[in-house]
Amino acid sequence: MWLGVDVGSVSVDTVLINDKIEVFKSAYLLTAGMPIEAIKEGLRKSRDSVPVLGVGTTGSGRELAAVLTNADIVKNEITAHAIAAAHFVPDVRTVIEIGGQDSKIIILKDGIPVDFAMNTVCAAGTGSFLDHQAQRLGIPIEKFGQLALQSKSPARIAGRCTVFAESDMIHKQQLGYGIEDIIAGLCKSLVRNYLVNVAKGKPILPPIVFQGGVASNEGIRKALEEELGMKVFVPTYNKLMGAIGAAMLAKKVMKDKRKTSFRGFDICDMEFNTQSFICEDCPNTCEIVKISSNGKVLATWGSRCGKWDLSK
Amino acid sequence: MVYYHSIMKIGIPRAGLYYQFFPLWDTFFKELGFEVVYSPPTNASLLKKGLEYAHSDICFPMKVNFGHVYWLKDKVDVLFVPRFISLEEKKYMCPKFMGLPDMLKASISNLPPLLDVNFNIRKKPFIRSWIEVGKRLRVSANKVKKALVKAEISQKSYQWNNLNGGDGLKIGIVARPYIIYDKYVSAELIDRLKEKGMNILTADNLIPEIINKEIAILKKPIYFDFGEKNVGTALHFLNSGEVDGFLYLISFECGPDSLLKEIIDDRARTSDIPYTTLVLDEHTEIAGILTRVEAFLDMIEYKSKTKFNL
Repeated sequence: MWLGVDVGSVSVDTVLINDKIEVFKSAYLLTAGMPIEAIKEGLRKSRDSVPVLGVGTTGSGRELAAVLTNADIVKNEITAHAIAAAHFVPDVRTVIEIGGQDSKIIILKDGIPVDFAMNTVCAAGTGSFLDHQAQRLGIPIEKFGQLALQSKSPARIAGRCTVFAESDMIHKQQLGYGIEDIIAGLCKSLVRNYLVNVAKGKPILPPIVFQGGVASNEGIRKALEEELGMKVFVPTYNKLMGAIGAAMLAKKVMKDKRKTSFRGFDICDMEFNTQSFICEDCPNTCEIVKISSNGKVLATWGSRCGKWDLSK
Repeated sequence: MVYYHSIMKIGIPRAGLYYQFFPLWDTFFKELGFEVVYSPPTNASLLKKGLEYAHSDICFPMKVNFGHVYWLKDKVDVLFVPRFISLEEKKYMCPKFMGLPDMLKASISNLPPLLDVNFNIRKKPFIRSWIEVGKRLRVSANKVKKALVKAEISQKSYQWNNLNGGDGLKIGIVARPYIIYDKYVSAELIDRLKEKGMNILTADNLIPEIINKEIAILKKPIYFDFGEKNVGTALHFLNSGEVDGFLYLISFECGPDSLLKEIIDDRARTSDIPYTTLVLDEHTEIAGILTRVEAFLDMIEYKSKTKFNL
């Protein structure tokens, strides 16, 4: 079994995959601002007695997850997502991934990524915003998509910026639009925003794989299909694709390595402490974070110059 | 008017065109017998001052420039902040360079006198601008000419060597000099890639003929500063295959680059040389840059294989 851990801004996903890249066990947990606890909980849920042959971590919190698990490979989420998508849909040309706080597009050719883009200065249209709006409207996020599908005439919502999108939604509510029309309108505007900002200038060719947490939202998926005029495929494990990619990478890297460096599932019960301080050695005044367990420092990071990094 | 005395300190902000012309400037002022004081390489506290004093809608590297001027202002007798208008025939500098001395005077008080001489090749050759610089420093035109000869030699003979040697990947970087060579602004990109054993190629490593040859196919000349140099370099990377892939670094608020990017993007579509853009500004998280660079390098690596090979 190979273990994959994807630590994102909103969720922590863990998977155990077998030789045939079948998901054996998995967990999807909200980070809730406590990534270390979430990683431990995720591992507890995917804990198994079968031996783990390799561990891969990905996501914006990949370094943290790597320190906790003592991973065999640490990989960025763009590569991890591309690898998983190319496995489930071998002829995939476009991967659209919308997560908690970032969104990306990956263009593939012959099963390898040839171009990609990731949102730069704007996180409009990502999971966090949808969560926030669902909460504001008193709708569980799981029902958000189905409700959007019921709309007959979606309201026009400005999608350029989430702040303006919200004021637009409030205004439309005040005008008396039905909630399903507002939600459907929001889905449409967010898709437009994604296409003109993140996917701008990229050749979007089928087959298109739509993954990440937001892919669970049927409203967004429908809006994407309408806007692109193409079918969009959402894989079964859309939320776990990053983690699956990381596990696949671990499987690959272990071909050249004898034994995994995995710390073992015992880490679920280990205590990890973090401590931060400001390094005053130069005018950059970097914030340094130290992660330790049982009095032993496992990792230190945060300095621009690298002077606090532990030698690997 | 500034009065000359032998140990006059001339402050040069380590920002903007310093990154292109430092060999020339340094030699020029030292040849004339001045003490040259540089601000330190950009750092967080310096940038903080820049953000505090700069106008909010100018670009990131300009805000950095303000921080350097602020650092220098009480340490020198005079600041070398020329008004760069046009440095090449039929080309214009971006308006922020033209207005820099004015913006500085308007927002930072107690500045020492600025050597805000116009550099405008459309109106007069550089030598006359340098003579004016000399005049303000009470140096004769003759001395200026002599110093300038030496200064131009140091500029020409400066080696922009970013190669590591060895057979590591060759990565091209296209960017304005004050983005790519300012380590803080560029998140130490060159150093990070070199640490991985890669060889870096920038516009400064190419001979002008190569760049001009690429530019010749464009429908009309580009009149933005660094426009032809950067687009020509990017086209060379795309067409020649001299690099394994290249990165284009732009500042989020850069007007000229937002247009030039379209030309490069357009040409990149029909090329199979891996290419990606990194957008930088004062809110840029290094982690985000590293994620993209890492994915970019993966792309190059996988390109040499047909499948992911898992």
